[in-house]
Amino acid sequence: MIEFSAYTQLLVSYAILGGVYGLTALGLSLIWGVMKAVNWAHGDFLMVGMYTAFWTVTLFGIDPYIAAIVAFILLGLLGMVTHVIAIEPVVEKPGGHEATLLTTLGISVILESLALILWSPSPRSYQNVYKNTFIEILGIRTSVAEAIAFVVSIVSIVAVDQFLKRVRIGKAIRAVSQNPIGARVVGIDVPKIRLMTFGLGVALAGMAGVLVSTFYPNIRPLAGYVWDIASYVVVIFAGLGTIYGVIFAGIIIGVTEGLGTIIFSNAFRQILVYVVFLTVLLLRPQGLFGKALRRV
Amino acid sequence: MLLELQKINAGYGDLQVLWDVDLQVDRGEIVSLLGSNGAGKTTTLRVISGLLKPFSGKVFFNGEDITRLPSNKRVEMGLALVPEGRQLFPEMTVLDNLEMGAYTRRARDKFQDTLEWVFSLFPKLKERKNQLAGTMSGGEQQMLAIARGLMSRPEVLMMDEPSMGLAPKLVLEIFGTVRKLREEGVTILLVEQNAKAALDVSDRAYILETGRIVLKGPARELLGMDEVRKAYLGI
Ligand SMILES: Nc1ncnc2c1ncn2[C@@H]1O[C@H](COP(=O)(O)OP(=O)(O)OP(=O)(O)O)[C@@H](O)[C@H]1O
Ligand SMILES: [Mg+2]
Repeated sequence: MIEFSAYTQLLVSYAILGGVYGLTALGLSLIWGVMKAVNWAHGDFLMVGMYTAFWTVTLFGIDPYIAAIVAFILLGLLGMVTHVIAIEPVVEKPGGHEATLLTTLGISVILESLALILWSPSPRSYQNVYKNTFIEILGIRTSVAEAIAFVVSIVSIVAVDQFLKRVRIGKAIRAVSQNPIGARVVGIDVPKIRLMTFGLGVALAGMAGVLVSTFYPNIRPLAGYVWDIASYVVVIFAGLGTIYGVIFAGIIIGVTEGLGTIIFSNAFRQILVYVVFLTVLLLRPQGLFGKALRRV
Repeated sequence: MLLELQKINAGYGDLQVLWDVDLQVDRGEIVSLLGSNGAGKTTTLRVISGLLKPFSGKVFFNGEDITRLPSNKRVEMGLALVPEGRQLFPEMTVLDNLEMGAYTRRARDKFQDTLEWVFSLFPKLKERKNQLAGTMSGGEQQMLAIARGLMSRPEVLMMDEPSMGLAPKLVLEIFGTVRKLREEGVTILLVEQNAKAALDVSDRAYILETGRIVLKGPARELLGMDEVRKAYLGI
């Protein structure tokens, strides 16, 4: 029984992590939907979000959840600058979508190198009350930090979805992703929508970085990698361009990672993720939710 | 002159499609642009709407040189295109497609009025306003494409083969709509394979052959010309 509940505990932790995977993947999915660009630097933006939390909390002593807002804005701006440098100049050229793979890889290298130079390779963490306070819901114990991260992730995903469905600019984002020529024909400024979408996608990654940093005491320049892998798997798993799919897929991937930890060991926990992922690719290449749910 | 093309040369990469194309549309006219497959009709409309930059030549709208303007600015000025292949937003509702049609500042404030007008032209769309565009029949989608073009409150509406793939009855309906639009003060540039029907509703027409304007004149005159009857009307 003790064993069982310890496992449950662990799976819940990973499900929570999965919620944040969903939030991270949402940004990737939006960017893919609107400009068919793969953002290799996505995990690195998440890393910058972690450092944003670290510095604002340690230097200014502000609450990490205020840091999440700071990171959203800061990373949104950084995302737009990146878009102007790395995406817009190539995205409409022949072979442009493939070119974004290379240009964002370049951005990734730059961000990681800068982080290594400026902030050193050694992992950092910061103290906050949320990770040391625990609550119990339905017999499951979790830190407040994790609970908040999960709730904020889900709420943010739902908020983005509502923005895309109800707000004019949000609808324009969907219009561009469904038919870029149609979008230009009705007078949508497509380059501007691309810029805003890239900014939003990166802002979401930055926010996710702050959320993770509240309970994951391992802020370092290469922290983005695991997030890159997980969020790509989530995006492909969900079916490119689906919104609620990313919540489910995020949680499934999180739990799968947890099961991997139980069955194998912590170091090999992602093996199971890859197995499930490859199975999905072979059996349902359009993703689990690709058909059932509306595209972005 | 409301719309004018001067010596347009255009194409794709190394392939030149249009050669020195001159074309004029006056306010209140219905003008047809006819020609066989691959003649360059769609390419001409792409140049006018800003989807394709010409190699050389100029496009004027309301006396203003718009050759270098991006497509969204041209829609803002009152130049709308109902494109080949409709280019709807398939996973959005009819109503959302129409709302996107009124995306420009020019059209935004008049959205409700325009919507009523468009619904009176196409009552079917009102019944189906919550249906996803991608699930509508071909004819319904074509109506939606025209309606979406009208939502931008255009001065000139360009239509690329609006009768494409429609049953004869619907074709009649579409051409009826074209006439009605002119009465409402919309100027129309019509691209058609269905030359007879197009010439019947038009004031003037241009005939494009492998990227060159080979004939132009009042529609009635063209209808009477032997070479036109043989080549385009199959008579
Ligand atoms: N995107 C493109 N890239 C390369 N060539 C193109 C492209 N679009 C059109 N073409 C070529 O340009 C020429 C003119 O095409 P266009 O679509 O303007 O013809 P059209 O008169 O509209 O024909 P249709 O009646 O079949 O629609 C054709 O030879 C076509 O193959
Ligand atoms: Mg054509």
